[in-house]
Amino acid sequence: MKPQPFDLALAKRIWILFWIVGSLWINTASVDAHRVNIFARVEGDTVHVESKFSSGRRVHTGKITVSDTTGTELLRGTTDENGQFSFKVPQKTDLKIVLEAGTGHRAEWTIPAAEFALSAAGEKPVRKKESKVKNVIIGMGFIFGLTAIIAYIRNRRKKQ
Amino acid sequence: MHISEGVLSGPVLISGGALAAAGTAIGLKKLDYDRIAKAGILSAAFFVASLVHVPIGPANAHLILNGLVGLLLGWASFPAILVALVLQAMLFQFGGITALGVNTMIMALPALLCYFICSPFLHKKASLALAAAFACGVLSVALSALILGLALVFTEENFFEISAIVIAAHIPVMVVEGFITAMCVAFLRKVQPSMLPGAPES
Repeated sequence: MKPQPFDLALAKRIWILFWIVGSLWINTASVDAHRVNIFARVEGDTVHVESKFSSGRRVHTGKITVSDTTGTELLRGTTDENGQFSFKVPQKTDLKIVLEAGTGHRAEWTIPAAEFALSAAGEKPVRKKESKVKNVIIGMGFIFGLTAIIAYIRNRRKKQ
Repeated sequence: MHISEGVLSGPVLISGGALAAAGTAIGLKKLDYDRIAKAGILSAAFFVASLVHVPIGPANAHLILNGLVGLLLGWASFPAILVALVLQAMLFQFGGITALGVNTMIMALPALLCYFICSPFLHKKASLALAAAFACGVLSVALSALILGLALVFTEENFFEISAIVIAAHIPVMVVEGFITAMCVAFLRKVQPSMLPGAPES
């Protein structure tokens, strides 16, 4: 089959179609993830764990496992209907909290030992929030860049 | 439908990785490098699709788009989906890095199977072609759920239970993807039928 020359009209149509499909996610309120999230905060001598699917739904009966950094399991539990679980601090070392929410979903949160001291001093730790839009742009940019590089190499090979 | 880090056992991860590597190798050979833009756009669409939450039904389901990707790329779905999955894993932590092979099999194998099953119908009369496209969208999601169930079999999860749960949760997604695939096929039939597989040599 002969290679076709680049069809600008078609490219424009495909571009429009892409944006029609892509506009489904412009509503950033519903931008969401295939993933389960877990947050843990320390209040005094209790650790409060919250769990949510990124769509916002709470994780009912998720399995929680708390271990120290050597992997020794310290305690287990289950999240309640609000996706929450609390436990008394078993030891003031780095704690790793693992949540398993079924169908392949798993999340971890590590509490550094320093946070127990901070909490005792009445300070609240800062939680970072990842920028979704930025990462989408990065990902798409990478794909288009890769495509362009391959197309360029291919073009050079054909000219030789 | 991405499996997170640390869920699957070593043998499952390795087998998934090996199969995905084989599929990707074949895919790279069969990829039409003159039409690399098509693969790029579909890979980007797949990348974005998992961010689109389908608000009907259970709150945990998101678009996948592997049916459309499979239909338009065939074997090349493997590298296209793999690239998108790597980016999803790195940028959004969807799916574990070690589980990339398994996740690629979950998404790309149904894409390939639906390509084989549905592509013969795409150039027939409109009603048949669109029905095949709709079926492609539905089937690819269902097959992904089954492979997910299969992957989890060795982690003490019951295959039938898991598959039933995941399929039930994705029924709205299946319907939406059926429509999206049918719409895209209808559009391409009018505008550039040669982009669809199985084009008769004129």
